[in-house]
Amino acid sequence: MIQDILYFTLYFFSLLFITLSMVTLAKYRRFQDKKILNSTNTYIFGLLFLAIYIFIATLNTGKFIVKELLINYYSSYIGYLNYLLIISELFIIIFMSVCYLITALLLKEINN
Amino acid sequence: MGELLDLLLLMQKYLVVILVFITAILWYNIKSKNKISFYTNTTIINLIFATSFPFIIDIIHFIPKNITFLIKSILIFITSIALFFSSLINYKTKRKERHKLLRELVDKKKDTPLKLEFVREIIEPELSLMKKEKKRLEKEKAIIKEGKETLKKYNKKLEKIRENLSLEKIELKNQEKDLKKQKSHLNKEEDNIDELKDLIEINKKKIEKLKNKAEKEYIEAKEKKKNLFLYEDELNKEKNILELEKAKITKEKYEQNKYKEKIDKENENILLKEREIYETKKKQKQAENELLSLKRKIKTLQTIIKKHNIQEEI
Repeated sequence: MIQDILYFTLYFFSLLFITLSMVTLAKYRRFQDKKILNSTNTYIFGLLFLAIYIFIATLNTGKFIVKELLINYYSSYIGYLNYLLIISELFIIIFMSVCYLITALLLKEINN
Repeated sequence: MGELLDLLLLMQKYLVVILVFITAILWYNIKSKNKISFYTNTTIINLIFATSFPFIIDIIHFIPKNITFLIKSILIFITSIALFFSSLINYKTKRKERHKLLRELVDKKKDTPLKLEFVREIIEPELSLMKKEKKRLEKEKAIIKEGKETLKKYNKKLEKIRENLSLEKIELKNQEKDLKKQKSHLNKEEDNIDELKDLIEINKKKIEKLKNKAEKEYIEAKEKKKNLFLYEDELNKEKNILELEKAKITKEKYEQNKYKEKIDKENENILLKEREIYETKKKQKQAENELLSLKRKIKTLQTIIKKHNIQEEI
């Protein structure tokens, strides 16, 4: 139980900080040169995928709350969560890493 | 299906790790060449790429799953915190710097190198451009002046035309008003005509109904007339028959009158005879009455005689 709470809080705060950092990075764009704006947008997009992954992980780790409070919906919640986990494991992380790779390629082009 | 899914997941994990490594190598190459531009913030990008490193732990099989999951979640948490704070600090410092720069640019007392550079690099070319523009504008102004004079002449002409036009406009307005009035009048008349048309149509319908009715009545009257003619013929026939009968009846009447006269005469004779009978009957009654009175007298006399006889005997 304590382990579940620990994971849930870790993922919850990670999600919060990632979201806030996305907002600050979006604001930070106005101090950046137009040349690197494309790469900035790309890594913000990658962070969005990471935020989605962390959100699904938060839902997964927070299932003990559903079990405690909404026991009637627990089975359907688990079913829905399994689909989400499969999607996140199969696609979202790949999308994130592809976004980072594109960022690196764009930065290479700019800095050459 | 489950095995295929597991295989895909495993492949995906390896693919992610490969992509992360390629990205890291690329970024390392860029950094090692020392060719990074002034605007690229390396710490933020380092931290962003660091957010993908926790996914490398997924393919390390000798570490137990629980520990892997714990390390992964802790690493994600640490990188997200670091990213947030570094981005926030960078954003704040950049904002302060920009604010300071803007203040210096506005400050008239200080001649900072940036301000001078700004004047040299941006304002001076702009000024030269503006001077050129000014010359061009002056030329245009002269041309415009010439044009203005010609325009003034044209304007005078135009004013005259305008006055005429304004008069014409007033006339046209008056005409328009009249036309509007006429139009409204016509509209009213049109409405009246429409109403009359409606009335006429209603009357037409009524007339048609009456016509149909009259036709029906005419046909009925014709038939009645025919019937009447036939009836009249029959009546005439009956009249002739009746006249003949009348003639017969008059003859009979005449004869009856004659007969009546005879009967009257006979009646008179009868009445006379009856009177005679009545008188005779009266006389008979009188005679009878006289007879009765005589009888009574006789009786009385007989009684008297009898009484007289008795007395005599006594």
